[in-house]
Amino acid sequence: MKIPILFVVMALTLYSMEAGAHGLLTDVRLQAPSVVIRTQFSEAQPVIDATVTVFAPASTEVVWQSARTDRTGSFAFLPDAAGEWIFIVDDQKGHAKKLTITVPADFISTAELPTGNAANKPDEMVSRRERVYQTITGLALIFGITAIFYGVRSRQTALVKPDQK
Amino acid sequence: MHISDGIISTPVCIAANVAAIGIIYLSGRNAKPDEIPKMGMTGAALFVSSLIHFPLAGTSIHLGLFGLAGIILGKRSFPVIFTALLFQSLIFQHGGLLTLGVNAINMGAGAFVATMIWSIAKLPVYLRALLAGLAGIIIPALMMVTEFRLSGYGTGIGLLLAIYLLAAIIEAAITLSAVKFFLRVKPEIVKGLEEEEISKDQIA
Repeated sequence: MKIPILFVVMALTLYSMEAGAHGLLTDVRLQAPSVVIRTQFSEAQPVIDATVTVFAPASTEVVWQSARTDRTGSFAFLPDAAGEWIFIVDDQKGHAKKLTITVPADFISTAELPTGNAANKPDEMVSRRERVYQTITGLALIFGITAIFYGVRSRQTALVKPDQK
Repeated sequence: MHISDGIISTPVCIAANVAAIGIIYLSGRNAKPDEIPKMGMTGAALFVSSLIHFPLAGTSIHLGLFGLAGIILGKRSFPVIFTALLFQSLIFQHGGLLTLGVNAINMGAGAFVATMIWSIAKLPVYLRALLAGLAGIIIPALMMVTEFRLSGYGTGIGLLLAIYLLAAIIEAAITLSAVKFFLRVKPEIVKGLEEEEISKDQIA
């Protein structure tokens, strides 16, 4: 009974090695004087023409700027004040992400700063090999939980049955 | 279809997580040992299926198999969907952790409707499988669209629904194929078939 299902799962696993996980990933870089946001789906397809809505630190209610990502899935912005800027990336097709980016005070006044900072940690762009390892890990966890759950329930059932007799 | 953190307001997410835990308890309690391997295998299939994506109309859609989960597991599908989504979120960053409850309820609703459709004995088996496969995607998509709309996102809702309708058609075809396969090799694997009389014509 389980062999056909196992076959289907294995086939899907093998297929997934060629596929990639899907989701909206962002990579934020502070490259003075601009903030650069690069977007892509997990399978490395750029999120083209997604709307990017920017809110300034002083006012999170009023839209500061509206724009769209370019054909490489990128968007660049020039902040004019330090603080927490909010960026909402939305592909209008069910994938959206809210980013809070801290712009340091010296970023506005200096021409050069190291790219990225701790507060704006980019999403991991994983390789296919890593994705395979992740998939195997996830499957191992699911099967492990299933085995534990099965063992516990079988034990409980075995303990209950003699009492009923 | 997996909503990321930061889209839905935190109080709503917390409420959804509490509700999801309650539903897990109600739908998962008293599971028989015989059901558990089936739950595990379906959970593994759900976990992997989200990696199979199709680039479509400038976006990326993926399989869900929620309709098939509803057919195979019935009410037991919710804890399985929750677990699969938890690991997708933790391992692939696919969907948020805070929005786990919202996502689980969205997709669990698809599986629930699929179970309801599958239980309509008057309809032919294959039609039920097709409709269940469609509902498994359409219902979560409708719920997600509503949530996006209420949160002020996703102005292109018509396009989004059109895309998910295509995804639902693909999913319905896969669900039908899977059900046909199960009917041929092991009919009792799909929930509720033990009680029904399926003619040889339907199975063949």
